[in-house]
Amino acid sequence: MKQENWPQSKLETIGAGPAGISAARRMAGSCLDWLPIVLAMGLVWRRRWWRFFIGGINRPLIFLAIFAWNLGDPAATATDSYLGFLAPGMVVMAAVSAGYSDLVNWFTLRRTYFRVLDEYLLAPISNISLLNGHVLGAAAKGFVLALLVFLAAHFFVHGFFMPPLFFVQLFVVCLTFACLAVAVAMVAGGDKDTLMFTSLIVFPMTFFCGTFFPVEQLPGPLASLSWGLPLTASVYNLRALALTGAGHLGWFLQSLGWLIALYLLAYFLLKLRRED
Amino acid sequence: MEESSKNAGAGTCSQKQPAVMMELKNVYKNYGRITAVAGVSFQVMQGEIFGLLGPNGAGKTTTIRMLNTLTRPTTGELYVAGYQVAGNQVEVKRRIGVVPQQNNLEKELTGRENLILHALLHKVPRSEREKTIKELLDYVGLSSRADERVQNYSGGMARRLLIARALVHHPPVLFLDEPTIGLDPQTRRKIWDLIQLMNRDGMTVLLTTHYIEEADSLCHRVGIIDHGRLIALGTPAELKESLGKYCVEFLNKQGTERCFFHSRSEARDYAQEKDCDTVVRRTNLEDVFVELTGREARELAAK
Repeated sequence: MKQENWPQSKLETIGAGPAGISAARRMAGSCLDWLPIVLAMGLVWRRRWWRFFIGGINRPLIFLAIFAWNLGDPAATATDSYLGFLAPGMVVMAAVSAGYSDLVNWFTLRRTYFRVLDEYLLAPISNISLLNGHVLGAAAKGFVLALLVFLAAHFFVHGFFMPPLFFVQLFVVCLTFACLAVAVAMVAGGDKDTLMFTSLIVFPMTFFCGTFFPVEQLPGPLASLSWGLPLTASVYNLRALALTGAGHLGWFLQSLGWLIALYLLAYFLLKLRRED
Repeated sequence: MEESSKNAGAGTCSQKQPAVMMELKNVYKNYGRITAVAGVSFQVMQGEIFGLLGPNGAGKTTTIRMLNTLTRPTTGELYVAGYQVAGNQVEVKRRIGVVPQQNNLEKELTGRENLILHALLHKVPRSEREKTIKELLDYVGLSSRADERVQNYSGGMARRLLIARALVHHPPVLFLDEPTIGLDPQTRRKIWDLIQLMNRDGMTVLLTTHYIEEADSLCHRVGIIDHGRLIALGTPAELKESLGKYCVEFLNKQGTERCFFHSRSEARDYAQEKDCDTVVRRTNLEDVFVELTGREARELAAK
């Protein structure tokens, strides 16, 4: 036993965490507890940027290119061409793909296989910070990739509006699907479960929520169902903002409602998992 | 609330009398119908290296996960560094370092970046962050490889980095879950040296292992856990003495038999009575472990 070598002062300072850190400073810092998680995600993504870029934007860009070449109208304008209708849908598809798909894999594999998540669970940070860090990190990446798709769309069609609310709405979509990713990852037993949910729910959603054609063209019950999904109002509002420069408050509030609902769901599932 | 539960499980903090740094009181953990931990109670004193020994699936990792806040007990009370774990998780997390069984480093990041990330998560002030990380990289002998990605590290290097990471925020309590599993003997000895150095600096260490010689050479006290129950507790010497200081080992049709005696002369007399080859030796911790937990491999027993 070597307790004599352990001065009480050391127990008090070291035992309270890093020496010299005050409670006030800790309180102030706790507002930014999510920041290291965003930083870690950013560093990992920076190392594999080409993989994430290709994975995130290839599908929307392929759709844009196929339709642009097939329709063969080099002077297409945003307001009076199908490409103008399609481009905001592809922007949302990129946002969902980058915001949702990567985070759900990141979270599930780190929780069940690599156990990296334990490092975050062992940090003296709250569930809210843990959730915020992951959601903001994934949403930021989704936002960047979606903007890249939007910029690429300008090669095929011109005349889009870019009001500030367009970017706000786009970020809301990214945040919403990042929250959904955390919620799914908390329920899933492993990567096969998340793959099934993505294939059955999220992937069809990116096709049937007004991305390629108006949901009104769907058979009656499916149209109603589509308006009950988190993507439709966002796609419609983004399209309105990109084509006319003016949004629709109802659609914006609906997408904001989805964000709040999925954030709360993700938070409660995360809390439940941690208490398990 | 914190004040009321603080020190609830701890002894008096004084230079003369060691404080209780960890305490479990009748702790149970059930996963559905399976009981992983069944009524475990023990204390770990300040400055002690305490080893939890047990066969595979005995409940060692579950016990450590309950102490480090990752798993909630079904019933019972746990205290770490004077705080009841339930309700004081953030306070407990500030005071513990955890080296997990599995390498859970961010493999895409460098060794240094992993330590910086941990320092940020644990709010180590910027003024001491760089110095601490540099010292720790020197301490674990990874300074020259600190800026390489962890995915290029060998198993031993990753394990040393895991230890360094657990120390970044200067915790007084360190949990090591199978710290040397899968490592070569040289690396294992290096890890042992590190653990002893940390303990010499005053750190309380709880380690789980099923390498008996590791527990024998490192631990001040050992608890043997089997089927979720603590079946023996004491210093390695006490545990060996409980069987008898000397062991007579011989081979018969049933396999290797061992008999234990308190004096060498008794052991020698017994060996001479046997009409087969016998070995008289000192009892070791492995004898205690096998006597208490049985000889059958747990994977076979489970079948």
